[in-house]
Amino acid sequence: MSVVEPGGKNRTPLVLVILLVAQLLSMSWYGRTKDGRPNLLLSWVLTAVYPVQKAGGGVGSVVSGLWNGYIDLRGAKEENTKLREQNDQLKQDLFKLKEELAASKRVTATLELQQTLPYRSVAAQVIARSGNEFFNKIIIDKGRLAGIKLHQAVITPAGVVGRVIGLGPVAAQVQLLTDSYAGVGAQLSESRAYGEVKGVGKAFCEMRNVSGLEPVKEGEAIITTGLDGIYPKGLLIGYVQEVGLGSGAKSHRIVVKPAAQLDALQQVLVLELSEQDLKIDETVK
Amino acid sequence: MQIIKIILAIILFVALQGLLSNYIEEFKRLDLPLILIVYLSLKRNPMQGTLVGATTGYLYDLIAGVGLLGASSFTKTIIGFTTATINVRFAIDNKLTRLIVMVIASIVNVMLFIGLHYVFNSLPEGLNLREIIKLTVWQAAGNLIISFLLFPVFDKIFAHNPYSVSTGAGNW
Repeated sequence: MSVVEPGGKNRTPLVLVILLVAQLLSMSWYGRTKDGRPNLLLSWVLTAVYPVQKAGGGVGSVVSGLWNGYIDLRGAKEENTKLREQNDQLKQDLFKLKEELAASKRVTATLELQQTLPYRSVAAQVIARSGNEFFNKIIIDKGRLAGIKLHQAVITPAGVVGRVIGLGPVAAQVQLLTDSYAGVGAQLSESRAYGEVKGVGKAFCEMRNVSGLEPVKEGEAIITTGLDGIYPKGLLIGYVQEVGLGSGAKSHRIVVKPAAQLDALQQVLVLELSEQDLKIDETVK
Repeated sequence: MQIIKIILAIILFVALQGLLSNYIEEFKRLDLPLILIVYLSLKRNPMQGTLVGATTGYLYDLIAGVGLLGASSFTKTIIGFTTATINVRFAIDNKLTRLIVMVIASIVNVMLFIGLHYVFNSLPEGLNLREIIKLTVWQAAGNLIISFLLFPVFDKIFAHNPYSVSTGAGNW
């Protein structure tokens, strides 16, 4: 590729300006909608990186195990070499067995949940995570070919995980509850007060718009309302971790601990909900 | 051949960023695609630095699902262009200075990314100055260590002198 045209003109500044303007327009458009990623392009990208991430999953577990093992064993230099070798070997065996047991338990729990759910669902494995601290998304190894659609709810046996926001043929992108742009219609399990659980880009979420006059207890469960048209009613979102009490004029500030362990997701279920499943009781509306 | 290597490397590094972040929490604070961009920009002309930055950034935007679509692309385009332009004028592509460039690029990367989110009113709500500084330091230090290890590997993979080709400096 030539930088300079035959006439001696340098095209780089022009290309740079065009690219920067296009990117600014993209940001401006996305900043307004906070949704609607270009799905065709995203579909290609998900398909292109899928083989690397899928194949890397196994390697990743080993690297993760070795890394964690390294961190754990860092302070044990003074140990006798022979004992340490034996110890390492035993630890590796134990780690392997524990991993196998945990993986087996996770799969069993997910499959059990899949069988007991009143909705159809697709079991998927998490193959990658958003490479950024503030925006929490994951990539799963099932996509359009497995029947997954945009905006479908994603859960684990422990609770709600998030929703599908990007789709490729063999992989999908899921926005976690804790993502800065995520929101779920929510209800306190005891007082039955309605509100909205919002992600704030951290490990916890916040429940907003709950009247300051409603009673709220720490540890109280928070469930989905079904009013947002994405999550069916009654799924566990999380628990009240902390309450900043409001008043008649001010809403409570409720910190929510997600019930699902969002920082260590391995297996998830994507719910294939029909319109009937999401139909809301007219009296609630 | 070089262009195929570059495309494969871009896909690999964008995929690896998501893959490693899933298993090792610390990788969420690093930016592997940026390391590739800085390296390639130092070996190529400003046009190619710009295009590598824009392409890698946009792929990263899409796959990592970060805040504003186009924010990583914008920052990485500027970094690719600037790094290549400075290198053309001052020949900063040697073993020590490229590490310094990596640190500066990491700081600029975080600042521009956060700045764009601020301008578009899309900053994550819990973000404060302390966390921004922590992230900047983490990214600069982490990228420095990883690039120290990766640059010699890149030297072997991308062994090619663009200036030796008769058709000029612009060849991939």
